Amino acid sequence: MAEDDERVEELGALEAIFPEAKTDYNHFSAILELAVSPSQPLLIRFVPQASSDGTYAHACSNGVAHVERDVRLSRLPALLLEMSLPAGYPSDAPPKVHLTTNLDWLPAEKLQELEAEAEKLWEDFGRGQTLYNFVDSVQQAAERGFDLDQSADGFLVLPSTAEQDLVAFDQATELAIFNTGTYDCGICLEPKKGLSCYKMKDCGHVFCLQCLQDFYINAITEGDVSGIRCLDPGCGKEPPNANGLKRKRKTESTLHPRELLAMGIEEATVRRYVEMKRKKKLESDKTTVWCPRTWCQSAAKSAKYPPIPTDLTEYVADDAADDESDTDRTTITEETGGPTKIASLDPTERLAICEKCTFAFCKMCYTGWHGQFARCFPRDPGELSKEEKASYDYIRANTSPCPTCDSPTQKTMGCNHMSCFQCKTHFCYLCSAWLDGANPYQHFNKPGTPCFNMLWEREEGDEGQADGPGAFAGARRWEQMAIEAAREADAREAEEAAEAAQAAENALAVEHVVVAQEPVAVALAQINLDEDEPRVRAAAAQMIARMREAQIRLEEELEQEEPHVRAAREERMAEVRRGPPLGQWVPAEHAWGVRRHEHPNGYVHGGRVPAEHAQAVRRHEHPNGHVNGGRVRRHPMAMAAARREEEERQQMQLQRFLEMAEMDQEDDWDSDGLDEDDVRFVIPPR
Amino acid sequence: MANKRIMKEYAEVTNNPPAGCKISLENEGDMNLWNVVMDAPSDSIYAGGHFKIVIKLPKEYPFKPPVLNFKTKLYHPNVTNDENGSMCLGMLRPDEWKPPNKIADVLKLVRTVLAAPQPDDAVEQGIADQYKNDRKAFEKTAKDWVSKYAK
Repeated sequence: MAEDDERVEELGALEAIFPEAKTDYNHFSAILELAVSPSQPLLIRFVPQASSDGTYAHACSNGVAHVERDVRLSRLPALLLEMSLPAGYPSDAPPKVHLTTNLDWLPAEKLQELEAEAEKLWEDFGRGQTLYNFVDSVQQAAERGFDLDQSADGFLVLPSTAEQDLVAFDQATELAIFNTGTYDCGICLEPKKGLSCYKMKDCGHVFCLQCLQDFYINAITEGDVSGIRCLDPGCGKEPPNANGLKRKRKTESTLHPRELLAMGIEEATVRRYVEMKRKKKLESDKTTVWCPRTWCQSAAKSAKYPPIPTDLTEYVADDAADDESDTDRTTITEETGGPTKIASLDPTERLAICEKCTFAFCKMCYTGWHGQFARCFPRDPGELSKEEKASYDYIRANTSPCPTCDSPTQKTMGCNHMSCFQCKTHFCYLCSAWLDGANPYQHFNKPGTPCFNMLWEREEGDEGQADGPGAFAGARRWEQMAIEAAREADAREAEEAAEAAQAAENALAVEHVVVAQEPVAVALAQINLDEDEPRVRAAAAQMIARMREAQIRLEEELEQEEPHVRAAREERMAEVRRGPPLGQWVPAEHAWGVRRHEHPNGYVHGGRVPAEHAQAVRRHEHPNGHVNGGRVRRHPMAMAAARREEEERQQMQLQRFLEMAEMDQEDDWDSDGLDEDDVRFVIPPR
Repeated sequence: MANKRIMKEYAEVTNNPPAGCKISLENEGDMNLWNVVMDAPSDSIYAGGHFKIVIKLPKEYPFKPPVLNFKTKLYHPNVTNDENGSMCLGMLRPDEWKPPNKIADVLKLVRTVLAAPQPDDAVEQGIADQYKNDRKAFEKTAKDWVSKYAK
């Protein structure tokens, strides 16, 4: 049969072209699966499933958010072509075709339209063999995304229930295709199977998993957060501007932890990365408030930096915000004033809650939260522990601050063009000036400026530099000159303050004598206890014991503090004798400004000044309001006087008690008078 | 991995050396110290000069950039005028280095910089100023140095 031969012939041809086609010569039919991967990703809008009346209002009243989602997919479930050649084919009957899609994603009208194409082609080809042409036309249509972008909506509309499956199919297909490929890893230079490679999500660059893991784990271990980006040399760089002069470099965004996890990097390592990234942001943000608890020192909760989620894939990357702040860096720094701004905080905005220990404290005075109606002052920077002070003095004398984030920076070697490890600001090590990242050396190239030709000044770093007129004074040399002047004034003031303090203490001592119980002229030794009153005697003995205890406690306290006070005085006297030293006290605006930055290359020294002794410091009121630089001194004479006075007071109290006992009135005795608080209240104010 | 990659790179540049470069190992068996003799580009003022460059590949290579030192004295705004002859430009900067960069790319960059100094990115500001303001004097010294040190 000639007719049949023609059908057999055509099926044979089809089989040759599409070996995957399933042909059935008995029924003259063929089934062919066509992969659908449009050259332009197909835009699909997933609309929430229309409920019974399908209105927006109905969806809302059901409590279901009516959210339409637009997704672009480049791989869609295959199109199934069922073709059969009827008896009269090709001369008398057109081929019968039936199209379906897996997951039913292509609308029925579209399928019918494609099916109709078969007969049309058959006619166009003069009723000849058209099977291949038909398959080809369907393929081309698939390539064009079935012209769905030409439809009335401009995209394909599908119920949102289909979204998950279609997206999963797209990803799975893409991965399967990727995995079968072979790629040359640009790092180890070896060809690798796709299965052991990773394709960057945003830019599509491919490297082998081994190299990526090695690099990123190494970078995370070293703390190089900014190194966690695509490794392709050209990635993230913008082509030079039209004028070709300014090489504007786009800040490359670091990778999302999701990607690192997908590369098979351990969760603990990825978490460390996320934590470091967050910490860096917190630390380079001058508005960050730190917990004053010495053992905690975490950041206070802020909406700007949400806590890291347990599931790292949920982490919200805010790199976009980074880029923005990078371009407007200068303006932003001007706006966020740092510590000085805190001083002017409205009382209602002073509450801060530590994100780690949940301590509620005041942003301004760093004490536990005192409510918004309490009056408080910024913590006095002079009230620092010795270590804090030493750390400060070192930072002041040996570092340059980054002009953007104030990280103390120390150069160990190299030129004076610094790039802040923390915030990537380019600046001059000598004068802390901002430098144009595109052309940093210009700064050293302006005759007449202090830094002219100073690029390689102190190339070997600061360590081991002899002191002398040319010795490094850091960018803080102006600060230090101001400090010297202030220190001199302070020394004078401190002398006066000491005198005033002594006078105040003397006055206070007199006051205490008056305030205490009325003087009684009877001495303890002269009192004859009623031998018949053991109860009274026991009470008296108990009271004497308590007084001794209190006395010992007081003495211990005094003794603990004495050497410190003495040392401070001697230090000051020595200072006055030897003339202006460097950085002896710390101006207020830096009290909380300095934080410790971890710096793998060891460029940055210094420390976040902890809130050590903060509580102790805050217990006390300043007698003279704000003593500048916390020059608080207690004269030893005054202390001795205080001790004497305390002894007298206790004696008097005991005597009074015994007197009352004699009159059987000891029950009226207010024993609270010997409580710790009262013993303490005679400690002269610091 | 590092060593394998270095071997691969070395084999590549040996078979197909970058223009004007002769590459050998400073010490036999030490893959981390490369010795390059570069003929300056003929269209540059250093034409005719042969420059010895030592490239040190850190043990973290290619995760960390190679360190490049001119052993032949060179009058150039981007090369330090000291015994190190250091050059630290573009991809050689630690924060700009990316592992897929290769030594061949580095050498290509060096040749480009030899042909076209970048005075705005200079490490020797004096030379850069001269380059910008008194090109003749600059070229004279550069050429003198070539005949003095780089022949």
